[in-house]
Amino acid sequence: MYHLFILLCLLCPQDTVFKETAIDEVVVSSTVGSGKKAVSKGRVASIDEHLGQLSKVEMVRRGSYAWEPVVNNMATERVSTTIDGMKIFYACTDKMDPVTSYVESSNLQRISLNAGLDGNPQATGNIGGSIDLKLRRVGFDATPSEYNASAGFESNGNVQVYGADAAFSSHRFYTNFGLFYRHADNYKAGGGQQIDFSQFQKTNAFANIGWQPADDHVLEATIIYDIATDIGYPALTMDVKKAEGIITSLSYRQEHLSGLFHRWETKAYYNHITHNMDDTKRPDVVIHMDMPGESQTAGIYSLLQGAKGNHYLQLNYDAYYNTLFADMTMYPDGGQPMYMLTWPNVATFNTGLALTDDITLAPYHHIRLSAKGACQRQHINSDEGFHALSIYFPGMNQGNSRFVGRLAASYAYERSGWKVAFGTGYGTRAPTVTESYGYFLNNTFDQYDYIGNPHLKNESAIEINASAQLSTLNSQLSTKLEANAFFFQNYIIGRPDSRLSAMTLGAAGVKIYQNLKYAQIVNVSLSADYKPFHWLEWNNRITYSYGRESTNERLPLIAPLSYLGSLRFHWKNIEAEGGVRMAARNSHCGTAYGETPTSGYAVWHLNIGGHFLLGKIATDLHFGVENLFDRYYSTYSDWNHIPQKGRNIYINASFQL
Amino acid sequence: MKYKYHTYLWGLLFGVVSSACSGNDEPVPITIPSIDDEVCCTQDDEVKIGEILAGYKEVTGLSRQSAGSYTIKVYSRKASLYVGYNDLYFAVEKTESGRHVKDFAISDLSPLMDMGMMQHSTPIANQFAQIESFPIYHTWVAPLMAGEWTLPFSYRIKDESGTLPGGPVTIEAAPEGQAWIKSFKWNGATYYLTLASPQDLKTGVNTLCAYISKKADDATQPYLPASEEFTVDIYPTMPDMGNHTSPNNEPLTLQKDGSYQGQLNLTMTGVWDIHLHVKDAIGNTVAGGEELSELYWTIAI
Repeated sequence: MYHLFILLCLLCPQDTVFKETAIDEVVVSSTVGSGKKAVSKGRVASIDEHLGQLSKVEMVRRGSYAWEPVVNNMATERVSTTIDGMKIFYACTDKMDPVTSYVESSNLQRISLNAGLDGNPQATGNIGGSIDLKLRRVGFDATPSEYNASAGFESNGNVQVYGADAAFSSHRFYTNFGLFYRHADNYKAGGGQQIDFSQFQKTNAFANIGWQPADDHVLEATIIYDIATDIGYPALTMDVKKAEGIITSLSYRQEHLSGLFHRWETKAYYNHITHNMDDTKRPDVVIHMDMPGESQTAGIYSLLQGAKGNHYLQLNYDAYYNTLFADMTMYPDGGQPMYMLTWPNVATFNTGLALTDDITLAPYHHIRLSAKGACQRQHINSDEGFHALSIYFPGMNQGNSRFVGRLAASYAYERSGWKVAFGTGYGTRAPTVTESYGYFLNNTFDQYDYIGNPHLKNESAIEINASAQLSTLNSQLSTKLEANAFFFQNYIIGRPDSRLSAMTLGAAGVKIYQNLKYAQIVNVSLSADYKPFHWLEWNNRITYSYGRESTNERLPLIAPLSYLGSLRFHWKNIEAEGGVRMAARNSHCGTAYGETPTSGYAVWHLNIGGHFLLGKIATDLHFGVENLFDRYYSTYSDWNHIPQKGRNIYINASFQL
Repeated sequence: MKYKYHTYLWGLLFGVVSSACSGNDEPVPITIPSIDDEVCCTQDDEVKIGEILAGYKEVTGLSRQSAGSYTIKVYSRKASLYVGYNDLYFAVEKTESGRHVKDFAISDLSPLMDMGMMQHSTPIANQFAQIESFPIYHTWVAPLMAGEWTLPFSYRIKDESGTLPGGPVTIEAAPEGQAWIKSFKWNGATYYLTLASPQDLKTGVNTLCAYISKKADDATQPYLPASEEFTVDIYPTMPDMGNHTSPNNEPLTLQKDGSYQGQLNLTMTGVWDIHLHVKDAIGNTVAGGEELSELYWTIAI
């Protein structure tokens, strides 16, 4: 058994051995017919499209670019996003740049999601879940040399994607590096209406290097440079001139250690994000403003992995130091500029210890335990920003210290067609910088200016989850019922304070982040997959979610009842799919939080993909149509109801030599 | 610690100079204190005075008036004065040595603007306040309008007294768009609301200091702080931001030193109008009104 563990660890060095029900993955660099969960657009699909494949993930869309992943109906504040275990924080006060926008599909091997409180070891604040973007490293002793190229085109919005990368590998050394470019013009909604300010372009370059000076001693380095320019946000009042990220890491890993732990990896990393908003192209700007933001994170983690008896253990120490700075200068016509700090250069130091234990009780019984405790210290480095916030919170401290932690336990049983799992967890999260110290951040969703609250308590949640899956008819029919529920205490959300005066011209008022006594989010999904023949698959999934808080109001941005259905055909190395995505009107939306209902819709798609050899070149081809009937619609998570793309025909190809 | 260090330096310098003059083998001469040492500050104090005055400029036209063997220097934030509140710092130097004199007093500051047809004075402080224990005296003057003024005053230095013409001094308009002094009429008299140190206001919580002065019956006499007690509610707004305002401001109330103090909260930099609602001792409106009153100062931070 022990050897099996080592083998498994070598095969998937970054991964958890057991695939618990809570863990979902999408493979980014897969080929057609690999049988893995992947996107119909293949390798040229955007990160956002890949993320959308994860079963508990929805995307909040403010334009064509940089969608915000929402896990279990919880957005960035309650979701941890890491890149290969590295912490990274967005730099835009208006959430225009979720950290997933600073990587490209070509950087990644796969995206792994741990739903709920059972997060990956480096995750903190992950009540909804933790996303880890696994970088694509070619590794040692792989194909000595490999060259990839891909190109894609989409008719709606003239989307063009070009990428090329190369990989070289030996026993002592490997490297892979590449360049990726993406461009989009304004797209058209269903019916042909052009959506202005929905363009973007992005360039991404990456390089990974590995060196093994002696067997089992591995040094690895990564650098990613990502720059997006001229990004339109049709749902917002501003665009972005430039969003730039530099992500670097250096790690040292020892393999095949004797004793309890057989593997030890220590990684130091640094990333830097700059983000500049731009309103100069908008026709109806009341007052021109500059709003730059900057995020810097340096960190380290050290992960020990080992096995003893029927236990598989991971022990992780991590620490990071992040600074977030954002300011705003407004230029009234002929008047003196007005300046404020919207994130007052807040420094966060967080250090924690995490332990997970996967226990195989018997061949059919698994238990997984995970726990993490972290200490966090925050300080407002800008005195000016501190003095400004002190107006609203007289006597506030310039810093705060907190302890946050999480505990999760789950049990899984698998036998004779049945897979049953249930789990529970308890966790707390510290308020984000926006929630604690944000200063007049205008939210175009409800038209309120938001002010952070330095007196917020930690938010906590109890999670329970359960799933049951039954395979019948010789595994031809698989039915799965899955549910989870989160019971929050001190739920953090902005509440209007009518005594305060808004800053943004035309704003509805001011909201201050508050701890609500409690809130609940419940998610239920039922899926049925029927595979009558080896070449035909019929997949169905219905999901329903519910969110309510202690003043008896519905929470905003909770997904309505929706259905996903598809018919998939496999023939040799060709796959084809036709499907539909349907959602009911979200009539029970969070009206108290400024949300308005979206209508129901049904949107159809078709695609076909093939994998074959052109001489020595392995080729993947994809062709498809999205929104087949050119329907005009917007989903509940389209910010300010900006319409989705109308009919879109895409074709792309990737080549590997 | 810093000042001790300076003492050593001075001592060292003195030693070097005296030994250079006297040569190595000759005995060190005994220093007999000059008349300067009796009237003037010690070197330690000179250093401290230098530090205090370093942030200020001599007022053109007002500073450097001679009084016997002394020179009276007048400092302010800038070399020229503005319409509205200006700090003035008076110091006296022995002209010959440039060292500061300990024993002096300034009085009867009487600003006057001569407009030909009429003459008038302007609000001033009713006192000269010593800065810590140093021979520097602070007062303020708030000229009502731009133009040429005289600021005559009386002095006493040791046993000598006299009066100096003080000017002419050119008063500049407040920076464009700003207004730091406002007036209102009540019971047949004119009162002036002077915002103190408008340039010191910052983003955040500010202690707002102001003065309410009453126009003298003889307009050529300085307007001293009013003897009546008022309360002034303040309501700051940003005209460029749709009259965005700040919370938790506190009204100006009379302090023991004759000033009015309150709390002014400014949420960001830019142009602010501070709307005023003046009430008498029992709360009746005297001038201005609630929220967007027409009586307001304008500042830019």
